[in-house]
Amino acid sequence: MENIKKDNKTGLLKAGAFVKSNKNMFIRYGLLVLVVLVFSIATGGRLFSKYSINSIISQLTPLMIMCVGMLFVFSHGNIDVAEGAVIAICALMSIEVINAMGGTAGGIIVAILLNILVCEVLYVGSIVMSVKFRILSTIASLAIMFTARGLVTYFVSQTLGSYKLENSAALKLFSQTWFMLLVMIVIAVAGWFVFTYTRVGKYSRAIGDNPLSAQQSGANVNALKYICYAIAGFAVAVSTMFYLARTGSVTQNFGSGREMDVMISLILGGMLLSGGSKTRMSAAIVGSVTYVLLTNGLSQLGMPDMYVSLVKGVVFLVMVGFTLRRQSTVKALPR
Amino acid sequence: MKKFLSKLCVFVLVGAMLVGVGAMVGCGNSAQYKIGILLYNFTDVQGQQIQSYAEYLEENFDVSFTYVSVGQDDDSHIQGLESCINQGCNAVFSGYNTAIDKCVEMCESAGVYYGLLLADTATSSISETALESKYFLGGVKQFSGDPSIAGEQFAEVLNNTEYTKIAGISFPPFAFIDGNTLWNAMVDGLDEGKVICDANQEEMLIPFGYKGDYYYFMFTSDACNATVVQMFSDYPDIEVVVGMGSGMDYVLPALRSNGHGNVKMISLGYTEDVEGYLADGTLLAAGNNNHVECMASLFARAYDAMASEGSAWYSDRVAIGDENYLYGGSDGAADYVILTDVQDVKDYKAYVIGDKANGPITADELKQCMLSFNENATWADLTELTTRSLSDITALRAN
Repeated sequence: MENIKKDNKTGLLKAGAFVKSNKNMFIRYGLLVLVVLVFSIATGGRLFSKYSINSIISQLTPLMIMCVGMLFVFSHGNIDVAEGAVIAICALMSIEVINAMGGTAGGIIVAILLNILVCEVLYVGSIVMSVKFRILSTIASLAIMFTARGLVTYFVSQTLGSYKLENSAALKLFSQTWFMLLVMIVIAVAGWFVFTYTRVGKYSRAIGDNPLSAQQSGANVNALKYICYAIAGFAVAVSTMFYLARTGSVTQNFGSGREMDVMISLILGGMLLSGGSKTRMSAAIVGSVTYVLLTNGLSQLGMPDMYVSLVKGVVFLVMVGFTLRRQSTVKALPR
Repeated sequence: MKKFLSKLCVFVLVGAMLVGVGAMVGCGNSAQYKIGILLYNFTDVQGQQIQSYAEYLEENFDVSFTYVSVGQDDDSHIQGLESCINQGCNAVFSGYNTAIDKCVEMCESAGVYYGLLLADTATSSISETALESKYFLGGVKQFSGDPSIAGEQFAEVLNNTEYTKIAGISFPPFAFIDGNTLWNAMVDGLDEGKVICDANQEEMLIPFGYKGDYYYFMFTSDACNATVVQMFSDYPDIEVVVGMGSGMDYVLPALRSNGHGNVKMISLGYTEDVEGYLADGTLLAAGNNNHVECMASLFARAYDAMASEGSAWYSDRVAIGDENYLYGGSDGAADYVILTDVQDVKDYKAYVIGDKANGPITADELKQCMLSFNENATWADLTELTTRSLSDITALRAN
């Protein structure tokens, strides 16, 4: 009898230790399960109707792609706030190119390549600026944000209020559910592989914990930062096409607020804003799914947008609080 | 601390979900038709008025309304529309023409009607495909379809004062196209001797061939403040400012905070302070859309479309595809209320923003102009009903 009690106690202790050591994973998946369960019941299954699933996928695709890219940047402990404005300037250029080339497949390919080029210049440029001039990467990203937003506002002000695709069917492929799923899965799997199994991912996590230790372990910290920002820029360029396919036009506010969507998604996925060894690619994937389900569920229940924003804000604040507290739990790297 | 934060997080999420469930249960009426309204917010006068008239319509028609506040970016607008469609709305009224082609395309595929509540097609960049869609209800022209009438009224107000140095400030011309027409008509109507303080730093003494430009700013109070500073740096002796871009919310506070409280103003926009400012002479005139009329105009079309599955069409309304339809013929119209004295404000409060059963358009009056209730109803009748002026309304209701 005593042995059984002892075994039970040991089992409980082991379970407790397991939960403690995998707390992030429980937050990540627990929150997702909670959101799915509550909103499935509350909306009477409407959240998973055919139309709703299509709209969820079309919101999720660009967000998840950006989250996957931004996770590389966030894993260093850097924060980027320029996504929304960069998306806007890329979308504006894409419209010009696609319209100029008559909405052909060639025009779309040129637009994508141009987007990638511009995003790489802006993102790699911002981190080079940050490294060379020793300024906070967030400040460099703010500069990019204001510049890009200013340009968008200027160009939009020269028209009747919006830039639009002359051939609205030009980007139809990017609104097809199968294509969105395909691109989303390919980028998520590629991101997961690179972040989990290659040196880029491993050193990135090490940089988030302690850049000096990472450097002494053989990581070329600056080069890794450039690579990670290039990955983020690529993700922003790709997601632009999906955002543009959703709206078909660009006004001066296009893309605004997307940077917060990315940040909240990553945080809901259990990511620490300080980055580091506990960063997992699943934070980007699960977090973005949770975020989109949460916002759709709340709005389908008729909750006013301002309360949805309030909920997002409080969750963000609380999770940042978690992040700050958890610094002490991060084990120092061996010296 | 960690425990507290985790509890707070769970509390907020569960609380939000419960509030959402509560909202759903609370809205669980079984009206035949459901209409969604997309606006930036429902807390200002505009949002409150639209919501208030929607509640009045709920009491008198077999409809229910759902309100979705959207952000100003395109994707947020699309998300709002998706939310309405997911909630089972049969029609959606959008305050703005954001991503209009895409919105109509989405509504068409979902079998939902879509109309512009505070915008029109004549000043929107809209494709012919969207315009000719069976599911597009059209928009609502403000200023009864002719902003120059308001401009002429403002000119008359200015001509009746001794003030001569006049400057204008607004949102950029691309964002407020009606503002250009209004401004030009106002300048045209000014008496000789009045001076326009042109944004290109050249005073224009009336009569003058060129009408002069107004100053403009990009939508924020900070930008308005900077533009006001620029304006008075160019012309320190401005006597009247015509505030066309959210006059009461942006321009008046900017004038006051920059020490120009003695400058008179004509304002497009209404707040509770208008009565006081008209009384003390700070405001020479103020104005606001008649949101009840905007709602009535679009609601009549939406209800008829929903009830007839899109087949109802006024015999005297321009046909879809007709040239006139493409150039604004798809739009209804609503009056713009101009207030020039305290009595106007009292009437406005009593008969426009007050009790809707004694307001600009009662349910019975509206039914008379709807094909679902009166097969002889005409587009001309509906337009006349929704462009009643404040004096028309006061004359009808005061007795």
